[in-house]
Amino acid sequence: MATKGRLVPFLIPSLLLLLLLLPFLAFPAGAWGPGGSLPHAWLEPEMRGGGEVPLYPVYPVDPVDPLGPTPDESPCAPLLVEFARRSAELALCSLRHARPLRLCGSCVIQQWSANRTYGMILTTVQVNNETCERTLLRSDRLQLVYQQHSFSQGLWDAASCEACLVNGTNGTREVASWMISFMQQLNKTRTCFHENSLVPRYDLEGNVKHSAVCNNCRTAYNTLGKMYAELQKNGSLCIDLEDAMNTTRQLWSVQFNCVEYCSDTPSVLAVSIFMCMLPIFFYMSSVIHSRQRKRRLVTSKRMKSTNSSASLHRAQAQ
Amino acid sequence: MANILKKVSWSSKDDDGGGEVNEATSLVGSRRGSGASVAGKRNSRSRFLSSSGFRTVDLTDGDGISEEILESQEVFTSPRPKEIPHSENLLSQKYESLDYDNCENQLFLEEEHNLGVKRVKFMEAGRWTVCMAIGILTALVACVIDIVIEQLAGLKYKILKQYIDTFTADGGLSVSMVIWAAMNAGIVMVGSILVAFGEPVAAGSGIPQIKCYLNGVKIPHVVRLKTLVVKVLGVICSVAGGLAVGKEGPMIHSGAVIAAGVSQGRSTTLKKDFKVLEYFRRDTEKRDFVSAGAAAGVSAAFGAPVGGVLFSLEEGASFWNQYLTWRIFFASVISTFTLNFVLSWYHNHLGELSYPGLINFGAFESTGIAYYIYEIPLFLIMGVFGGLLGALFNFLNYWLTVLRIRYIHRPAQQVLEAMLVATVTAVVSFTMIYFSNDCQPLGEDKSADYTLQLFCNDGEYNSMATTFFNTPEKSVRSLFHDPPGTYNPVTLGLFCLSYFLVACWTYGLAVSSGVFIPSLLLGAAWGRLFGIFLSYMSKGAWADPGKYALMGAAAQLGGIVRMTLSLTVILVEATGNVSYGLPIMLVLMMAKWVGDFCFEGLYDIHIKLQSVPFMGWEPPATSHSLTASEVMSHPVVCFKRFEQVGRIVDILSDNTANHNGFPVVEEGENVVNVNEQGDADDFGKLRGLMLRSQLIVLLKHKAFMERSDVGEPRHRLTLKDFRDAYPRFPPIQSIHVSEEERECTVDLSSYMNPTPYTVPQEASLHRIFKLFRALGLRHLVVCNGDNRVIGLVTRKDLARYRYHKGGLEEVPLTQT
Repeated sequence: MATKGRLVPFLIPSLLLLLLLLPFLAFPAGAWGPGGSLPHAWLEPEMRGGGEVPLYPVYPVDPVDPLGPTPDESPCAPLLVEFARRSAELALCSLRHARPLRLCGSCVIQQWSANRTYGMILTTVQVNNETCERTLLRSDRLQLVYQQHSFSQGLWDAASCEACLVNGTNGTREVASWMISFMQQLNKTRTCFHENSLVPRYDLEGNVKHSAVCNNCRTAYNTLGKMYAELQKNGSLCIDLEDAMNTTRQLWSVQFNCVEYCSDTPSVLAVSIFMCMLPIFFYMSSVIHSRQRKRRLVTSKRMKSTNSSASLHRAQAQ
Repeated sequence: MANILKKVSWSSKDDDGGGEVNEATSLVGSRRGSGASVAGKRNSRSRFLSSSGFRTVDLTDGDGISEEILESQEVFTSPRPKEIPHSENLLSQKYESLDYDNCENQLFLEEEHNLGVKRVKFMEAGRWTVCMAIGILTALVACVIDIVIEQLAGLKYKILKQYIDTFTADGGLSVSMVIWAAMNAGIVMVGSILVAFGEPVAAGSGIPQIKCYLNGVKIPHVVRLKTLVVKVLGVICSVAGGLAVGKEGPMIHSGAVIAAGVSQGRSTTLKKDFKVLEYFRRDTEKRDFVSAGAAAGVSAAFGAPVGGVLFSLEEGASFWNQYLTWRIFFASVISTFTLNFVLSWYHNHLGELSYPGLINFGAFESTGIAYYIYEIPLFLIMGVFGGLLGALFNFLNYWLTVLRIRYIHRPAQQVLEAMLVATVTAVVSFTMIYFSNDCQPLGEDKSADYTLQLFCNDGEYNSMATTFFNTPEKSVRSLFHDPPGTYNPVTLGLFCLSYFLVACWTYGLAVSSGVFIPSLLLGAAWGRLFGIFLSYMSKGAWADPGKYALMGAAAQLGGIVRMTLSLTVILVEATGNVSYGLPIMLVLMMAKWVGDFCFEGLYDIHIKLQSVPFMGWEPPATSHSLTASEVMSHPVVCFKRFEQVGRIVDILSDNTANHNGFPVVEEGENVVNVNEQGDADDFGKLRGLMLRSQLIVLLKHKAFMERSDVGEPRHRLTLKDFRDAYPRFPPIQSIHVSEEERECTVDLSSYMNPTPYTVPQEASLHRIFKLFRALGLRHLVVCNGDNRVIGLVTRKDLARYRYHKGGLEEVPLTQT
């Protein structure tokens, strides 16, 4: 609810308007005109502390609203406000952790509470035997609540976050142990990178050589890779781990140039040329030594009078 | 009088046939005793019109014939049989026609009378049941092939990936190349040994053989159980062995074999007779079921039931028969349904028959990729290019096949050649992967299961390796559907070039291989290249190369195999989008026209190179000028209605003239009218036609007239006796006829075909051809105005006329 400090001058009318606005939150689209823009105050992102959302009721309330004039008669209104707040918290958390991508590990609580609120919306029934689900979710064409939930759930699924979470206490979800250990190993590796690249060394041409990083951090990096491969096989990878691994690999390969391989070009060329010569020898020896298979012709039995035979061309057998 | 039977040397230095002559091919069926054909050293004076194949033989004895000529009853000299190197302008004598035309002899009419209408309906239901069984079994075989190939190829790539990864880190990559080549060669060796030593007719894709079979030519061993086994195992080995082949052609052949086997209700190889479906033991029914089997094979291979029906009808049927078409369609749909069901279970989507993973080339959604009318000229250009490239492919493959037939004809050589091709394919793939710098991060869809990092950064994979390490179908799919920017143009270009050469080299080896998928892959690659080029030129306006990949694939396939109607429908069904029907059809038509202008289609070339007497849809041009008397074989060996067993045995045992159809003439005096030169002018009044197979059954069961005189009941054969001996009739040598039995007589009137088709001697070649082809005949009797037999027309007499460069020409006949 609005902090009393800022609203003192507007206290009484705002309280009245608030009471009248509450139904509007459930049936917003019908009463508002087309192209109605929200007042500036509504749009101010007053995110303080716990991310509270100020509500400025500025629109007249529909008198025949089934939700009723008083908030006490309907349990859906507080649920709606609650859901709005939780969704905003989740959005804030996700975007804060967008780069580097740590969505799954950092926003578990927010996702869980948003889901819980949504679940409560789905199950609560009002006094007149109508469900909050119908009132809040399916009353208009836009279906804002449903879309919002769908969107954030979709992001969560696309990030495969559930693969890194296990059931915790009190029905909550918490981060799994393998993710924690992976993150620890990741930290170790990154620290190793950081330490060893502080002093750049130069080779004969003046290029920066990162041989220290390559030598000292190779074991840590390889362990990380093995852990990642293991998790990939089990199917317990979420986007956090993928992203972390990707960036580490990028660092390793592109920035530090530590990928080792032995190219064997001369011997590859030699062996391939040798193998390609074999068929040529084979065909030449077949043509020279094999006796050519010939076909023996057979005379057909025909009637002797062949007056029109001159009009035929004879086949030139090759 | 030398009776020398000398083997002709196969030496290539002997080019004008100057070697000693052995078997004299006498012009008239010798009336001698069985066995010893008259041979001798001769200094014949046959004149040759040209040094090449065809010549008219001077039938009169010229002067200078030495006294070495034997018995004076020999009227004609025998020319020296000319030997020529193998070419495409030859017809082989060993191919016979199928007996598609029904023999309505007395036995048949009695059977029909006894069975009645109810039995006919029962038979019809039986045909439908057999078609359903054909569909199900074909689909199961296709599933087995699919699944085993996937597992085997997956295993091979897993092992290779391990080796390459270790060698990349530690050095010695050339060893991994050798390992790859060795694995390829080993797997292909197994497949090739099966084909070359086991069943040579299972080599290649099988579509030319099935085309010939549906045309009416009896290719030996083409629909046997052994062929099926060799084909299935062979194709598994070829594809898993990394050759540039596909598995679709062999599936069509397998479908045909299954159809031929199931419809007979017994297996001669396994010596089991299920005693059902005896009514279908005829060439007519068998050929119809083989059409259904081929269609079921196509629909199992591509998931295209309507395409399968059209394939079968385009290649096979002489005429559109509504019931047959309906049954073929039923078999195709059942085949697709069964395949979908089994594969959905394999992919863990049991029962979800519309699972998109079952569509072979991935579904092109209508909303996703649109095409506009201004792109049609571009598609046509692609069609032209596909036609030209296809003609080039066929041309190179033609020369390679001629080389193979002439010089590489021992099985051991063929196996060695196949192993070498597998080795070189591995080497080429490896070097391309090795020298490619194209690194891509792995996409989300994970369509490629086996990826190689090689020299790329961690987290990136060599995209050339992705193309080579997948089965060709998956690569085609990726080329159609991957987002723009996935492929590097240089990579694609190099891939196209090397794959073209390797695929051209591979087709025609002694392995089971198909050519559909390699051509689709090749076309998809250069089509995508074209699309990338377009989007580069238009600065991103034409941004979707996947659609051009599809058109390129259609153009290339059309340019190589030159199928029109069935291919359009197959591609439309395999991509799940009818909107592309118009451009695909235009592209295919263009490719066919341009390709036909340059060179022939691949299957037609191979049919010609096998010297099969294939009859086209239409008679050759300007064939109205030839009449039946020039086309027919003359003289003709005829039997009388009451014929002596001894004469029958002698004629059937004659090695020099391998006749299969004998007109039955009326007895009486003046049977044979002789003209002034001493030749028989006609051979008697026509009464019917007897086949060699029928005569053999009669001799085997000793259905002689004399036996009934002694009080034994008249041993009358039934149709069942003929059907039991079908299809592998015993050779005449295995029938033992004692001396006294030779004096008996046989009554042919109830067994002969009393109403054979005849033509008057003035009938044109055009007319005879159409009659022969439309009715699926084997023998056509030529009669004069009094219904007296003058000659006999067979398939070889008709197929030897080809229209070539301004005139009708005759193709010579060879012995083997």
